[in-house]
Amino acid sequence: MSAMVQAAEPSWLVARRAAAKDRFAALGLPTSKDEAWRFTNLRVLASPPAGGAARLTLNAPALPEGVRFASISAMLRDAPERLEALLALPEGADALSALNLAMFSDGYVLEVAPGVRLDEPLEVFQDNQGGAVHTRGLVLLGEGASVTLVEHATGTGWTNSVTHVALGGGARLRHAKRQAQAAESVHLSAMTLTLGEGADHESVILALGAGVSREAVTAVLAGEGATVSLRGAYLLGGKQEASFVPEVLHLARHCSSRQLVKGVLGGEAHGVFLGHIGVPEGADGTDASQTNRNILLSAGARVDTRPRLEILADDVKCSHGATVGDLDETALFYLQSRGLPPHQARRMLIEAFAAEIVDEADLAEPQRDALQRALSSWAEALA
Amino acid sequence: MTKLLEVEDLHARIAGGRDILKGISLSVGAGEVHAIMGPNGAGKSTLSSVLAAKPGYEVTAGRILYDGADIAEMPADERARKGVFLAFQYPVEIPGVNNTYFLRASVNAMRRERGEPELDAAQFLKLVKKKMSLLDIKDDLLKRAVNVGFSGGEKKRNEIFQMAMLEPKLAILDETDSGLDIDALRAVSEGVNKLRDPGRAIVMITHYQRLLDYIEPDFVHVLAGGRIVASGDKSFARELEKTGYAHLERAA
Repeated sequence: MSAMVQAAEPSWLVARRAAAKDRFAALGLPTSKDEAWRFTNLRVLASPPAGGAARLTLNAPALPEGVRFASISAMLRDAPERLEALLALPEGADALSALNLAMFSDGYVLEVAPGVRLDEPLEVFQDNQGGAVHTRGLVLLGEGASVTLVEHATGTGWTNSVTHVALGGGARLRHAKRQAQAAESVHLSAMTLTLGEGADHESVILALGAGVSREAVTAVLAGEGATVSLRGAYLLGGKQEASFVPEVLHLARHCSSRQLVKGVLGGEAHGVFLGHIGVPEGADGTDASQTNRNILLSAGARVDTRPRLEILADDVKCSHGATVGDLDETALFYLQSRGLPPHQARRMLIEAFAAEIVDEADLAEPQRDALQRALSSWAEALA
Repeated sequence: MTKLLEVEDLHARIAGGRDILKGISLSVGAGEVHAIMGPNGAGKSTLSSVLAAKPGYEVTAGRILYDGADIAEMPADERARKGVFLAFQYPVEIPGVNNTYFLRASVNAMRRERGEPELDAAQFLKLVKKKMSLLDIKDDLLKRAVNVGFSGGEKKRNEIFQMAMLEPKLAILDETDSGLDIDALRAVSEGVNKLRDPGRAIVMITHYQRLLDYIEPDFVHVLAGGRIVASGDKSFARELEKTGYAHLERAA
């Protein structure tokens, strides 16, 4: 059973883990004084469980030349030099990202050579078996490459997921994520993206499970004409809490960005939206929008929503808005007057409200259908 | 024999307010078409809301007997499944809910109630085609979200199409003629006329005489001040056309 024996890690990794651990110690965990965390239930951060195990499965069609899609553990064995070049703590990394590098057990690398376009999606299944699991994702698309990546986060425990994405000029990434962890679990996710000239990214993230979850996506539009669309939905009941923290930095000219996050909350659930658009001086021709819409199904549910714009450039088109409301009583009556029982009528309206996130996503039919089914079953539970 | 709908001394109000209906009695038999006319503020929309169990209204006295049972406390969805249909004055736009999907769910809710097997997509489509040819409805309405982006005429036509699909025993048409031009009014009226049936009662609530030129009622009632102040057969409608109902209103 030699596979059971953990091979010693290369010395470069041991050193980087130690440096990351130091950095984590220096930074300390976020507190309620950190703007990006002030609405989040921080008790879950204070006490991550010790140890943990996860089942990581990568699912891919037959891969053409120029595509690498492998677990980090496999790369440590097969291509450690390449991994050494990729696996680093970026400047300005926050405490959880540092903790992640210090502690990560596994993750995946997706590298696509310039010009390679894949139609079939690549899938990552991350099933937390309990305890604290730190997992990493690395996605690098060469110029003009195109791929769809679908993530499924399930299981129990305390998950800290960190993903770095770099898109070369004209590269196109479609990213869909379904977070459906068990009710008592914690799911913290931070994704950072850098987009080159004319690169095009879309994320569709469904936060359905977990007791406390957080989806932070930071997109840096570094090349002219890059476009990013960050779509998300949280459907929460009981005492669930979900935060969406989308951030877009328009560093280059003529880039466009869309943020659209919708939430439906019942029970005593808590939703948080902290959106940010940054347009520094000189980023002319920027077109950005940011929208957060919420429906509260019960008196105990609540939302903290804070759309934020920082615009220093002159020639900019920007819009933002946030709404919090109830299910439309008139629409409910209309549906019921046609014989639909109250539960079915509510479900139909919840689903219709949230479905926009998925319906208008730029995904192929099977991926969109799968996300719709996931939304549907959570809408059913909430209604 | 009891009639399909027997309203007895009905008093009703918007929850917490004063009575708007102050003792309405009305008897509607299967196969009959009744017109209820009256000025603004007479209580017409309150009557249709109360008959369809719109939330926010409450019955303070009297009874609503439908098919022999008192339905005053029965919720809207249950009434609908028992065959009560309200064509809305202002059909509601529901973004994100596809018209066909909604209608199939609705038809199947009715069928479950009657203990009939649900229709699958193919069977449902067959039924839709049959009813569409009856009412001259364009099928692109069915591909859109419920009432979203429909013109006024399309919305009203969609209501009548739903009525054709759901085959109610009692249809209440609330100001179905309001906001329609002559062509749309004619099309909607033709639809309603095709749905006249010996087993179905229709109650039209309207402000305007002109609807009665297109859908000829068997009985006409004048509602004023929360009461029915005069009733008659179809000749009464022609009489009203000459005299108006202002004098009846004063009598109330």
